[in-house]
Parts: sequence; C-alpha cells; structure tokens
Amino acid sequence: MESVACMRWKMGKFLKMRRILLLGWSLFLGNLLGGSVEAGESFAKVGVEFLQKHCTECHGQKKQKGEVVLDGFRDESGVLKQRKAWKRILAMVEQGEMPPEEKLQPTKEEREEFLRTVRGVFKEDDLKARPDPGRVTVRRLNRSEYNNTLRDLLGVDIQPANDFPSDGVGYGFDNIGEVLSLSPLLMERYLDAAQAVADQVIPLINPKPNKRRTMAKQCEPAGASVVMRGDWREFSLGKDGSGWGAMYTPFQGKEGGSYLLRAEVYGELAAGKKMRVALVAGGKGIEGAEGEERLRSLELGEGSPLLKCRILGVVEVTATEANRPQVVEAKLPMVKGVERVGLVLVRDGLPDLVSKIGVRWLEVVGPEDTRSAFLQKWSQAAPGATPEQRTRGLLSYFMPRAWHRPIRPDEIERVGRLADSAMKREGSWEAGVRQALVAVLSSPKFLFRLEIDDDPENLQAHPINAFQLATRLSYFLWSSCPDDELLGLALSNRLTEQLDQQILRMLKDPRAETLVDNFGMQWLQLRRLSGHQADGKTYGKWNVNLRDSMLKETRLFFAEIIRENRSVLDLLEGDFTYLDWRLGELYGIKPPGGFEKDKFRRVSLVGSERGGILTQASILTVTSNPTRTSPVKRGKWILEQILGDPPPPPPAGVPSLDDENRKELSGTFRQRLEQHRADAKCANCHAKMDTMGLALENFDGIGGWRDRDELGQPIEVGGKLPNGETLKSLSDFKKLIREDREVFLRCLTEKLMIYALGRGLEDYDDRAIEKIQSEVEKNGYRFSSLVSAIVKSDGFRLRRGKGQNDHP
Amino acid sequence: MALDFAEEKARMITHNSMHQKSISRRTLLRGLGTVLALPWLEKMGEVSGWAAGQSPGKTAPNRMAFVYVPNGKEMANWTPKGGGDELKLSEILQPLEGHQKDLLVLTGLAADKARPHGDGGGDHARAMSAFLTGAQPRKTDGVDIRCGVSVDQLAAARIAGQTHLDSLELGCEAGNMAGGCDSGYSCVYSSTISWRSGTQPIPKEINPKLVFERLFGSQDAVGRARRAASRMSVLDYVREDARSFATKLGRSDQQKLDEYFTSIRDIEQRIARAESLGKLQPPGDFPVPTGIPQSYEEHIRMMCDLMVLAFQTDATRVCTFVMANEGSNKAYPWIGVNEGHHELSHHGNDPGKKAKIRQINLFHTKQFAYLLDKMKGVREGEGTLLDHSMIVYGSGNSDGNRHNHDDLPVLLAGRGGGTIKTGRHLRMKEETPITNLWVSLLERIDVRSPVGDSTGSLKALAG
Repeated sequence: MESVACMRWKMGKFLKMRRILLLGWSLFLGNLLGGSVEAGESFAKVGVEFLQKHCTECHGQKKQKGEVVLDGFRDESGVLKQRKAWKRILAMVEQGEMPPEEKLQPTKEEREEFLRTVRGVFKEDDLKARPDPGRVTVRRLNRSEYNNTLRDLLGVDIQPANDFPSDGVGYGFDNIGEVLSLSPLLMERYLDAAQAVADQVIPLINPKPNKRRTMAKQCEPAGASVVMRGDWREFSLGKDGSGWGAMYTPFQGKEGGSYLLRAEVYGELAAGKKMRVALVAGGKGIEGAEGEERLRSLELGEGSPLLKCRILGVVEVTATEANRPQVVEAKLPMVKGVERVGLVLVRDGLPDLVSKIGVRWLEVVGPEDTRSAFLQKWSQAAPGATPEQRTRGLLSYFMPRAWHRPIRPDEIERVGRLADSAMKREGSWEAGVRQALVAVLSSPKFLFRLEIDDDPENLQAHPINAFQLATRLSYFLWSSCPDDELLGLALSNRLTEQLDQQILRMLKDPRAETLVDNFGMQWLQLRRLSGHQADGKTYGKWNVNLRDSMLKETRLFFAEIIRENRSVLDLLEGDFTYLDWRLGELYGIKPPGGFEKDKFRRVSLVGSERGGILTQASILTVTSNPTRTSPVKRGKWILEQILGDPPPPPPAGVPSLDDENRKELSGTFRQRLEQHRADAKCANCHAKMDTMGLALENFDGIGGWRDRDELGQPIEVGGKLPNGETLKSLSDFKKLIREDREVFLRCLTEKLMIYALGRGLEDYDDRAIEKIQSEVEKNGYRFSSLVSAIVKSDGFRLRRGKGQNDHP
Repeated sequence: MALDFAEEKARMITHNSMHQKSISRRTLLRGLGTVLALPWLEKMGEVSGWAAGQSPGKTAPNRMAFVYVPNGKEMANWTPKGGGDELKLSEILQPLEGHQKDLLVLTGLAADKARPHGDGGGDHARAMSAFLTGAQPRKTDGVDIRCGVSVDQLAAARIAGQTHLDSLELGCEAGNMAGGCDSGYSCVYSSTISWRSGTQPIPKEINPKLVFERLFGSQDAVGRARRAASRMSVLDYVREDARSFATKLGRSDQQKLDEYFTSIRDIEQRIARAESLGKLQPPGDFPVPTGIPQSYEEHIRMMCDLMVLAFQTDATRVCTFVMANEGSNKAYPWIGVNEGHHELSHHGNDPGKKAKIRQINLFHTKQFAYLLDKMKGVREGEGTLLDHSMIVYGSGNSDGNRHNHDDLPVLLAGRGGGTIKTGRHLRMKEETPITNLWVSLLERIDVRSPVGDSTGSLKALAG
C-alpha cells in the first residue's frame, strides 16, 4: 500500500519542522514539571502505544513513508506543538483512512480511545490557555466596500471602484487585511473617485427652482359649470349661488421643502367694489387646517375638497384688464397632509351680480432650496454664518460618519483650512467644500479601517472600542459604513447590550444582501461563473442569459436564508428554490401557474432530486469544463467548500500524462478516471474526491439532468470512499452530507469567521469555533445565531498586539 | 516636446514621400492572413512623438516590452526547423511572415524557478511569476506574498523620471477569482507578471479607456493644471494627517500605511514630472476608447494600439502585456475551439486536442503580428519604432501538457536600436536561464544588473 502521497503532503511540513520539534522536545524535558502530569501519562501510555502498534512501522525514523514520522511523539508537549498536523492525523484515523486496509486494524474501542486521548490533550490545553483574539492587519476598503460606503455616506451610486484594480484574495476572500495592498495606480484611482464624487454631490452652481404651471382649463373641478373665455376661467359671484368660487390642482411636494404658490388673475368689478382671492393648500390630513369661522369667509361649496385647507395668503385683485393681468403669490411651506393647492374667492360683503374674476393659471415654484441632497442634509449652519463657519459646520456632520468615530476639533480645523484656501483659490464656497471632501475621502482614515489603539503593542487581549465594534459589525454584515443608529449606540455606549437586536435589524436590512454577494458568492466560488463559457454545441440550452439566471437562483436562495433567518442547514437541504422559465426548462420543473416573463418565483422542490446548493445549476456549472462535467473538480469543490477538508495539490513527481512508458487511458470517463487513480500516489485523495464528484454525474456540465454522459454512455453514480463506505446513488450522497452536518457547520463557521475577522484562522481560534458551533446547534441552526456567536467571539471583539508566533 | 499636430502631419507626408513607402493597407491585411476591421489603420505611417520632437541625428530611445501568453505552446509546431542565420518559420509562427527579418527565435531557455523545488503543484502560478523575475514565488494562498523584482521594473527604475510613466502594465483578464488559483498559490501569482519588489506585485490595467486616461488624462490642459494644484494640496494634507496616528498602529499596520505613503509620493512625483516634461497629447485622430470591447480579439488589439501609442508619444518606454492569465481556461469558440484552453493544454497527446491547442497558439501569434505591424507603421528617424524596440513574446510554460519549464517558447522582435541581429533562430545551450536574456536586454538600456537566477548575458544576441 503506497497511498501515502496524500498524507505526505498533509504531513509535508513535518520534514522541515522535525528539527524544531526535537529541539522543542528537549526544552520540554527540562521543564517537565510545568506540564499536566495526568494527561501526559495518558498520552504517553495510550497514544504512544497506539502509534507503535499501528503507525510507526511505516511512519517512523526508518521508513518515513510520506515523509511522516511519528515515533518522536512521546508525550503531550510534542503533540501540542504540532496541533495542525495532529488534526490531520486524527481525521485520517477517525475516517478510517489510516491505518490502510491491508494493515492490522485497531478495534473500534482502540480507535476511539486513541482519538479521545489525543483530543483530551488539546482540550486540557485549551482550558488553561488565555483568550487569544489573534491579530488583524488593518483593512483597506475593498472595491465592494468602497462603493457601498460612498453610496451610504453620500447617496451617490456611481460605483467608481468598478474601475479599480482587483483586490487581492486570501483564504478565499477579498477582505483579508494582510492581502489587501495599495499600489500607486489604486491611489490614483482613489483620488479620481473622490474628486468625481465631490463634483457630483456639490454642484458649483445651484439650479433655479423648478416651476410647474397648470392652465386654468386643466384645474379641478371640471365640467359643465366651468365657464371659460379663451384661457381664462371665469368666476362670477352670487350669480347662481352655487358657490363654485374655487379651483385647484393636485400637488405633492417634498416634505420640508419650501415652495411658492402663484396665480395669474384680473377682475371686472362693479364700481366701488373690492375683491380678494385666497391661495390655499388642501388635503384630508392637513396639519394646521383652518377653523370653521375662517372657512366661512371662503366661497367654497359643500363637499369641496378644499374644505380641509390652510390659507396661505389673501390678496386683493387690482388688475382690471385681461391683457394687463396681475400675478398673486403666497409662500407654501410643505407641511404634512398637503394633497392639492388652489385659489378660492373670498366672500366679502354682499354678493353683486356684475363682478367677475378671471384666472389663467396656477403655478407652484420650488422647492426653493435647490442645493444638492448632500448639502441640504449636512449644511444647516445658522443664518449669518460666514462661509468658513458653514464649512466647519458641514464637516462636523460629515467627518464622524466618514471616519466612523467622534472627530477632534483640530481634525475638523485642519480640513477646514484646506477648504478655506481652495475657496480663495477657486473663488467659491462650493469649490472649497469639494476640496475638503476629496481630502476626507482620500485620507487613510477613510480608505483603511483604522482601529487606533492606545496600546498597540500590548500582547494581552483587550477590547476594541464601541465605534470600532460598530464598524466591524457594519462591514461584516453590510460591507459598508455604520449607520446613524449604530454610531448613536456606540456614542451612548449601549451597543454591546443591544448587539442581538442590532444583528437582527441589520440582517433584515436590504444592505445585508452584500452578505450574499461578498460572502456567499466567494465562499461558493461563484464569482468565476460570470466568466464561464460552456460549449453551446454540447449544451444546447446554454447561453449568457441562462448563466445569469443560474447566479440569480443561488443569490435569491441564499438571500432568503439570511432574510428569513432560516436554518443554515437549508443551504444543503432546503426543499425550495427560485426559478425563472429558463431554469424551469433546464430543470424540467413546471410549477403550477408557470412563469411570468423573465421573473423569478419561489418553487417547492418537494419530491424532486434537487434541493440545496449542491444541486443548483450555478455550482454544477462552475465546477465543470466547457464541454463536459468534471467529477474531480466537483469532488474537490465539495471537500473544500462544504466539508472543509481541502485535498492537497497533486504531489510533485506524478508521472506526466504523456510519459511514453505510461499506458494510454481509455474507456468511459469513469474508467479513465479509475485508471488514473490506480496510481498509488493519487489513489487516496482521488478516491474521496472522485467518488463525491461522481455522485453528481446525473447532472450535466450546465446542471441539467441526464441519464447518459456526453459520449452516450449510461451514467454510473458514486463509488467507494477510502474508508470503505460506498455511495450508490445521489440519495446516498445526500444522506452522507446530511449525516455530516456538523462537519458542514464547522466548515461554514470557519468560512464566515474568516470573512468576519478579515484574517486566516489559527489554532487558538478552535475554542471559539467550537463554542460558536454549540451556540448555533442550541438555536436551531438559525443564520442569525451563527452571526451573533461570531460577533460575540473573542476574535471579533478583542484585540492584541503582534506576537512572535504571528505571521511575519 | 509639445507637438503641433498639423505640423506633424506635414512632416509625415514628407517622410513618406522622401524616405520610405508607407505600408499599404492591403499588404498589412494580407500579412494578418485574414481580413479584419482595423479601426486605426489610418494612422499608419505617422512619425513618432519622440522623432518629431528631437533634433536630427539623435538616436531613438530603446523600448522594451514583454508580451505573455499562457499555458505554453504546442512545441513541435512552435520551434523552427534548423538553427542559425536563416529563420524558417514554423506553423505556429507562420502569421509572422513578413516580420521574419525582425525576429530572433530563442530555443533552449529555461525558467528554473518555475519548477517545484519541493513546493509541489502550481506550475501555472510559478510559470508566470518566475518568468520575468527569475525568483521562486513563495507558496501561499494570500498572506505574505513574495517573489522577486521583474526585469521590466529594473528597467523602469533606470528610466524613472525621463518619461511620464515609468512603465505600463496591460492585460486582458482581471486578476481576481474566488479562492486560490493554482494548487495553493494566490491568484496574484498567476495573474501578475510585473513585480516592483519581492512583495509588491503591480496590478495590470485591463480597461483600454482607463489606460488612455492614465496616459493622457481625461481633461483639457487647464483642467489638468488646476487639478494638479488641488491634488498636491490634498496630498500634503493627508501625508501630514497620517503622521499624527502612525505611532498608534501595530507594526504590520504601519507596513500597510507605508504602502500608502509610497503611493502618495509616487503620484506627487508624477505630477511634478508632468510639469517638467510638458503635457502629453494623443494624436488628434486616435479614437478614445470607451471601455472593454466585447470581442477578445478586439480587446487585445486595442491594448496593442495603446502600447504603440504609449511608445510613440514617449509616455513610457517599458511595457508588459498579459494576453491571458496563466492557467486561463478561456474557450475560443470564434476559431472553433469550444473547450477551455487550460483543459485542452493537458492534451495527453490526443491529436485532436493538440490541433486545437495549435489553433489557439496561432490565434495569439496573429495578435502579436498585429502589434508588430503597428510598430513598423511608426516612423522614427531612418527606421521604425520596431527598430528601436525589444519586444519579447513568450510563455513560462513550454508544453502545457507536461508543465515543463525548460525549452520555453520565446521570441524577440525588433532590433533594439541596432544592437540585436534579427532574422535568426538561436539554439541555446540547454538550461540557459531565461533571465540571462533579460540581463542582455537590460544591458541595451545601460542597466548592468543580474535578474533573479541569471548567470550572465547572451552574447549571441548581437550576432
């Protein structure tokens, strides 16, 4: 049995580390009393015995198969120093991959005792260890975070980061502090982007207020009783006593906006008569409506919609000729409930039969403040303030939000001075504020998530402050800056106590969709699907639209799990999905009622072969080659992304495929794969990988169902796993995955932790992961419980200085 | 060296009539073997910005470019038959017919640092990152990336300050993909060819529009000057401001901040340089690119046009261009190849698959021929831009099936200002480091420096 290539890699570091190991070991001997006697004896007895009986014959100083040497381990100290390697050893023993089939097998009890003993060594060590939150390198905003932050901070959606160079990826994600570098090219783009955004939110010249004119003919009420003469609508008082002394038009203004209501009028009046008109705003729920007494002075008929109104102004009509009319106007503050604006005649004294009034149009001008939304929101300095004061006023609103923390006066002053000099140079206040904005957005305080620490080299775990917590939280769940609610809670120091409510609120917020795009799509490696080109000849249904639909299916599916706070196990087992007609055709699923155009709808998968992400076309396609499926890629994907057990890369020195002494591979794909696997060096890892991948062979290279492969051969599903278990069908495979739910949960937890912390995981994170897992199990696997447990873990809430054992 | 374009055109006409016939469109199209829409053909025959601005008699600067193609070649049909003074084009090199006299094919070069040396799989990642650096990339899927300084950056550092940009890095495929890209190597290794230092890979620009803006800015001269002033004051501010908290950061955070400061300094220098060198102006009829073209071929050609433009206007003298990332699994359906390139490159000696690999190889050669056509179309003094250039075309993998890194497919186009004897096929001693070729190219721009694992230079280049 030579199937040690896999182990060789897994244990590869041993060779290099052996010397260190021996050194560490002798150190331990000199320091023996420091160790735990009980556990030490236990490993020294049970562990060493097991190793000698089952392992060291091949993995000892003499044979060193796969470069794995196990006879140096005599007690717990050595074991603890090689924690990562031991994890692999335990996994191999637990899964029955070692000792190999043809060697003496331990009994079930022996196997379990061995596992228990070694795990006990780690557990005991964990109990003694001090909390270690690890160390996160300061994180630069990545492209997605940059776009989102600008959107939420400034209300612009120009997404300048789409033109930035790609972000580095580490541990499968593009938000890892250590990997996110900053090149001059990127810095140039940052400056350009800041300028573009500043130019957009602060126009140099404010536009004139908008005018909306309604000709009298178009005004309400309409109908036979309306008398028109040319453009003029005529009102005669007391003529018929019906009281149509009013006209109006619907209007919806911007809340809080200030408008002007105007009308063009003239009057033909009996001698000695005066006449007045009132400009009014009406609406059912209007605030500050007139009392009955004042209403009685208006010429309003019963049932007039203006009976609930506010009088904006009363003006005397003095123009007497239609060709020399008069414009009457009144200020219209947009108060709650306004639905229409109008003009009403005022009932003054006795009606006379001669006087008439003509109205040509009604006009609303406004809102008066045409400054950009940004300036309206942030620049509310007191009247009479100098331009310099207005700048500082704006900055004191803006800077804390941009840098997510309270800002010192000297920080504001420095940016303010920059704005002042730009204002002088360019000759306008707006140009100065633009400059200030560019500076704030180009500062490392904006571009990096700086977590300033008064004690940066302190190796003891100490907490991050409330603002830093708010910021970590918002970039974790929203890939964006904290909103006012989070910052407010941080300011009043109540964020920690409200953590769970905030998490629930944030997950329901539309901004949480970035978790799907940034976490989900990277975890599932679906970002590369958008560049995938399947072969249209092999797969007739394939086209770019179908590819987009595939991505959307997985997005919608994932989004529901977050939004509805479902169990994370639904990711694997969910019996629903979202389809459009394209996917419906691909899957052969016709829901009752069919599909509406290009719309997606939620579809039940009860009774179907499909369910969960593993059977979604997106995953099945991205793990295929353009013209055929790739069971190896699929298997590798499952091991890496679902079971957290990435297969090692092929070992060095695998005989090349065109080696002349090598027999040509022939037969069906499965047969060729099996011949390939006959090579002992490849066998162990491929047995697992290929079997998993082959379990999905009924799905073709774009995720459609099939009974025959690309060459017309009948599909054979599954195979034999290295531990002897066999997979005979897709449902066997699903059962296996379901039974492995803890393994899946651990894998998901690790991935989400990496994403949340912005760093790779280390041995000391094990405790946190186990704690998180048990929290999630207790809470019915709810997605929010996973998020909450991660947020409450040491790694998320504490920090420490850089120690010697950290990455360089 | 501000150019008056009316004047330049006038000069161009004299040049054409007096010294050399301009290449006819038809010859060019024939050379490409297929009729294609060539958007900027009108500019054939123009005089380069450098030539227009110089006094007669002064020699043109030597330009240097590295064009990378992934996944190796179908070597049996790449390597020309025979060797020595007469270059007989192989099947894959056939599209370069017409440039034969400007080529030097080098057989037998090796990139030893692309080999595992105990690091296992990952030949694609190593092939690309070791190609110009001669350094063994550190195996990591993200943290603590390390390789070596690449030859183009050694050249750029030498020329620094003489041109608007020290170097230009172009590509057609973005670098990011989820996860590690090749057997535990970070994606950066298989998508980056230029390394400023061992820890600073230089991202490539894939959007033609942004390349153009980088070269010439997106504004008129007045707007640019105003922006430069305001930018300088912003840079002053952020530099000062960052000092105030630098002490409150841990060491690794300070390293990140150093990247920030370095970038700031770089931009300041560029602004200052733009003032001293005068403004750059693209030829008035150069169509401003609007984005990334749908067609891959069009995309490559637009990048070639921009490279030529950058050389022609003397915006830079050093350029790298990655046609596709190493290990790229792109399909080429428009030439009848529906399978992925990487997948096919593991052909297992299947003749059908090898034929398809040849198709892809041919496609890339055609694009390289287009670049050479364009370069020859630019007059400089008594010769062409190509005469004053050293353009390398090659891959860090030899046979994609075997992943071997000796016998690399490499050729050099251009005479390097008369320092290279072209029109030959040089068979080097086996295992000659490709970095020796890089050392020889550096010598031709007056840089005496080893590159990675180089052991000397190639005297044979001069003939």
